[in-house]
Amino acid sequence: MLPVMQQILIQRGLMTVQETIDMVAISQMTPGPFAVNAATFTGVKIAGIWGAAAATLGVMMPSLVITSVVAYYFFRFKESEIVKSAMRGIRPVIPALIFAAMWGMGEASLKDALTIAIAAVSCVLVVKKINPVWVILGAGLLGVVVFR
Amino acid sequence: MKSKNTLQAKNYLRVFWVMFKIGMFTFGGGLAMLPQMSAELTEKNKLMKQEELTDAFAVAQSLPGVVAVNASMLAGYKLGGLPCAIVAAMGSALPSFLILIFVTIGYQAFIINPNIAGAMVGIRAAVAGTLAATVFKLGRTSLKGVWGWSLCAAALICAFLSVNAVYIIIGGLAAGIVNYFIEKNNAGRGDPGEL
Repeated sequence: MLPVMQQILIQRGLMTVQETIDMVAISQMTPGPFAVNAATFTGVKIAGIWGAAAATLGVMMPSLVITSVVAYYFFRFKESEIVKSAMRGIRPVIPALIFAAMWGMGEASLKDALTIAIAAVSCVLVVKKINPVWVILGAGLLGVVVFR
Repeated sequence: MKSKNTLQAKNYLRVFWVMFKIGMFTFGGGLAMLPQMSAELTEKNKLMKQEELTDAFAVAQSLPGVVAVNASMLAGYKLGGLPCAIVAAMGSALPSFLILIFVTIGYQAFIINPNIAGAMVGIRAAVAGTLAATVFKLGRTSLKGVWGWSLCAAALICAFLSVNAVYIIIGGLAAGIVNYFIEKNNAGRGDPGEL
């Protein structure tokens, strides 16, 4: 999505190259889905708060429409033998995908003993059913103190 | 009738608030949302089973659009149909929207702020940790027997070969369906009319 977005914004003269680079940086530094962040940033830049509302709704619209339809059929046929079998094939795949996501995130963010320790402690806390919200909040505060 | 409506409004508000919190503390892509959703929806509020949430993520990941929005909608749909799905999607996207409006206005200062840069170093490391915990938890519930482990290993190899996640999920789906027909065929053995 990102290369397409950058290309269109620059070609139409809506943003400078530097602004699209900043858009990526900001979207990664703020919580929430990357696409929604980037869309809101773009909307504010081009047309203020209402532009942001339009851009955010716009980027969410395909999800809202397609997922509504798929959800209807998914929950309707969830108990059928064929869907159940398909899900039995899909379920073991998900931990692998999360492992790959973790690996990517780890490669980019675990640079020294302290970051590795933060990751290890976070992992143990979440396995022990501490809410990740608190873990992330704590790690952020610790980061301000230690890494600034 | 009126009390039923107020009860429903209360439930929508609760779903909205839970999803708002999740959106507020999710850093990274769509799958980074799973640890938060699993803690809030399955462990703390017991609104759904872990397996149901994993299924929702599997479907969300294979649909076009924003994975986090898809996942919020599917979880919301499970809790209370289409209205609840919309409420959940709005709840999870609203923190992004509000934060970005403020950040964009003074974003140059935001990018070079050393406090924020420091916080991000800590947060990214923690996200890697929460994802590791989720791999562990999901592994416990969904990796059973040779079937589960071999599918997982195959998926992992594909993921590290940079195969698109959508194709990996479709691969799992195909394996599940093929297995269904093999089992059906075996059950009907001795009856040549079957299949």
